[in-house]
Amino acid sequence: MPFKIDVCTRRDLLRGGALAAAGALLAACGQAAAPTQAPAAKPAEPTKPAAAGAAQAPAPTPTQAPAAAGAAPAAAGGGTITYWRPVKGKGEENGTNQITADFSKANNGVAFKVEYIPNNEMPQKYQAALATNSAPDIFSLDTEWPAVYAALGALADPPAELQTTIKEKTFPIVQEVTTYKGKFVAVPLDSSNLVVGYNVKLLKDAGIDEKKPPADWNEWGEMAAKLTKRDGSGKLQQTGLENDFTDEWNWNTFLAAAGGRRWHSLEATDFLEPPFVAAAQIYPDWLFTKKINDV
Amino acid sequence: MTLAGPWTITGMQKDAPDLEWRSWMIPPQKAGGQSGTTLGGWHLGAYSKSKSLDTVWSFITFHMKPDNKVLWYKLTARVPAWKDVADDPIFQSDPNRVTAVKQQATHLAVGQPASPGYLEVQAAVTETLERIVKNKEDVMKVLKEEKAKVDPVFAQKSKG
Repeated sequence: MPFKIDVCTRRDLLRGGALAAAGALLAACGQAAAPTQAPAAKPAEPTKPAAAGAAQAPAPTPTQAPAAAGAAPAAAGGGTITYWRPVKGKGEENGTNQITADFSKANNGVAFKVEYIPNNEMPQKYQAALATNSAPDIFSLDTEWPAVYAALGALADPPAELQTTIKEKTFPIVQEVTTYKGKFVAVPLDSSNLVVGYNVKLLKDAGIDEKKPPADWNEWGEMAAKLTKRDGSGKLQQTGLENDFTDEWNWNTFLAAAGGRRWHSLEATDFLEPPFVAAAQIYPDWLFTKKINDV
Repeated sequence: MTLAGPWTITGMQKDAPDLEWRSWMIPPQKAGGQSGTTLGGWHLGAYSKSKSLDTVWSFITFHMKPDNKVLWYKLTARVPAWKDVADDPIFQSDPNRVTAVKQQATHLAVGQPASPGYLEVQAAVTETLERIVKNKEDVMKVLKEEKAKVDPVFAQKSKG
């Protein structure tokens, strides 16, 4: 079985938990319960499945009707262009609909069949499709998937002109995750990252000057400790830093800010390198010593 | 404070439009160092056995025209992967979006070569965090043990 993938990412599932961040800010303002746990109510849900049951049986969803029903001109090489997208909400569906429609209009009615698949099910879907040579014409690939699928021989090399454009016009960090063996194997579409969000009022109440961002992790931890409130019994009333402390994607923030990566060579990981150790140590320091949150 | 992503911006606009919140870039570990952040996002790939590769690349190229990239970022509220559109006014409309774009631009590649062993390392990092945070195990002990477990698999997978 040449297309076996052993481990499926759980990051996108966990990233849904990060949506609670907005809830944490709300809670810190006294508009909701104390944020000792990730709030159940999520302010925004870009990964919400389109419909109940979709997780079990995602239905093909054509993005637009052909110019004439049943008479859509075939794509070059024959057939309709199949395009798998992650379930990411209406904004992304609208964007996909509009751009495929615009392309179709400008290209003699090329037809698309777009299928929306819950993020966490995509690896299994790809695995099954590759095993039967029925993969979609266009893959949507989560951040670090390009190398995984390139190694399986599933991805065609972008044309030379597109390779040059990617090199010249994308951010360096994005290039790092779309290359394999020295060339681009996927085209970056969009990104997400994490920054430090803060409630202005709570900082003022704690006597913290928001115009002076923490210069390093020491100052950041001190600020978080100042913002943390517990009652007489030690029960958490207000968190110093809301975060999913077991989420590897969130933790990557600390690894990167320490100047580290998970590996620098393909022979071994960097688990014992100083930046990795520092990033691993900061969580127990903040959670068990400064007690800025509970786990 | 919280670690805030693009979804926080849209979520707060929708659910707490009157709450004043702002953002900073991630502080470096040591003062004077380089900020850094985690990276997410999606890419487009073409199936190597597609019978319509010319059309697929034509479409992806069309999708990457500046107007279409801006449209995409406007509708999705994502952080730009493309620096040629990062100065577009849509990214200046919200102070927290400005922070996210600035963070993206300062997040430098530092030479982590792409590896198909990524998923195994990802699982090892998750296990590491579970042991450190939930089980309160010694950090160095956990790192040594997890490295010993994952390195052979990672090296093998990385051969492609």
